[in-house]
Amino acid sequence: MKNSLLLPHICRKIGWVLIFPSIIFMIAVIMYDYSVPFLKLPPPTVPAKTFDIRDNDMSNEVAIFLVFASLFMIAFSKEKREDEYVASVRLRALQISVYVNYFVLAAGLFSLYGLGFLMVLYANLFTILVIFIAIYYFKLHFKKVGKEELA
Amino acid sequence: MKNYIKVERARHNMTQADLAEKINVSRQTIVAIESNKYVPSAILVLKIARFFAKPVEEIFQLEEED
Repeated sequence: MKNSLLLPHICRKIGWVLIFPSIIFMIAVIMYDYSVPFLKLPPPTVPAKTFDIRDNDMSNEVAIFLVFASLFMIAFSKEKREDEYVASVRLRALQISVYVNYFVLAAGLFSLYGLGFLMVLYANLFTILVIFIAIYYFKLHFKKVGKEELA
Repeated sequence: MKNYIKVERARHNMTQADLAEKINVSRQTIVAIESNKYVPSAILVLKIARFFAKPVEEIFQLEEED
């Protein structure tokens, strides 16, 4: 079973190494307005109109991208031994995670509005990947199926 | 689909990991097939049968509900 749409196995380790600093960085940027000096772009030269909402700090973009990238690497790297069962678990986990993602979205749609709903959308950026990783790992590595059984 | 992989393994005195190694799949695959959680593809079924040197139907059999 060749699935060329996956990253090499080593990317999973890189993902796990990157994920925690990335999350801490993202929380620092989003919640505590932390900003990295060299990620500040030069201020815009075009004069502002009435409300200037332009943002010349790239810290938040980079932070979110790093979290995305590391989640992506964890989620879509090859197993050491790829086979059809792994592929089927992956497909199933992907399906469930997309379902859950939209259930959460629908629930938020009817129970929240304004900024609250915006936060749900924000969380929705990551739910597909996070739920996918949780289900995939649980099914492949932590379930009873994962335990060794001698003949 | 019923399968007798476990029986065959016992006969050859192999662990799930050994069998997985021999037919080049992950151990989880063998576990899932043995516990009837996963129906293997025709290719894998043929590989397993060839490994145990038996006709496919001696290892894999259809059940009523299939």
